[in-house]
Amino acid sequence: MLKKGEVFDVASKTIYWMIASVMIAVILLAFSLILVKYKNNLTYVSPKLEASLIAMRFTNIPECFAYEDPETDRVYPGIIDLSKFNPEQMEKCYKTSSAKEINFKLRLENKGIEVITDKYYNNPAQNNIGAAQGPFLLPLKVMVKDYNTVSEDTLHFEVQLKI
Amino acid sequence: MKRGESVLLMIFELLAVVVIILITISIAKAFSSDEGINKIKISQDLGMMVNLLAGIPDNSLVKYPYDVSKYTILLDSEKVVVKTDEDQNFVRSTYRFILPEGYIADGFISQKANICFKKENTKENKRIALLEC
Repeated sequence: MLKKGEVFDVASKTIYWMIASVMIAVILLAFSLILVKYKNNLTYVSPKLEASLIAMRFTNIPECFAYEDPETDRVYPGIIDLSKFNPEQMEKCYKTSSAKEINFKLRLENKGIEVITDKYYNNPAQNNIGAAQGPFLLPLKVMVKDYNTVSEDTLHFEVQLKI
Repeated sequence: MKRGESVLLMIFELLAVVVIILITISIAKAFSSDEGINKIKISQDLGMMVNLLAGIPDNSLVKYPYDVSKYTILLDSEKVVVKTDEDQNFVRSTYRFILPEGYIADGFISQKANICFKKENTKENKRIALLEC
């Protein structure tokens, strides 16, 4: 049987270790979080960069909206074929499987036509990131081919980042 | 408390402290090694290069400007994976991308210093290949 002083000794050790183990757990957790944050900072890629690299395809390749001469098969980057500027072509060009991917809304200013990717949700909170500094991606001057006419237009991009 | 018990408790306390220090050092060491970060950076670079190549309407050949001889790189039509030989887990070094319809991407490179992406763009064949160069 333990004496009075020994009981106090064991109890104080137990209390000490209970407090110490909680503090050690908190310190280890904080340490891990700092390291994870540091790693995320090191591997950060600007979403603007990612979005602009993807957006290149919309005006440059015939699988998206670029005009391709049916006789010569020559592709004209920067000229949008209006007959292709629709959701079906967008699905062939950039079909996202979830909202975790970057989604787009494209708008031809003069023609007033919009095309969106299949997981684009009109989410103003997302789209207004950096709105004070201007649009997320700069609008692009393009030519639009509609049957036999070619006209100037401006292509606007709205970007929905990974939700 | 007997003297033996007190010594035993002290040994246990010392062991606990040593274990905690070892855990902390091993976590820090794992993070400080460049490999994990490098793998993620390389997969991001390569994935974005694929996105870029998908947006170019012609044939192209692009060299990745860094030595990747420590890594094994796997490219398919949905993702690029970078790993070292010791790795079991692919998850943290995968970059996913979306190719236009009709495009394929493929290639496997293991421990080669110089790698290239080659885009073949014909009416029948639209392919982005990962090659040694």
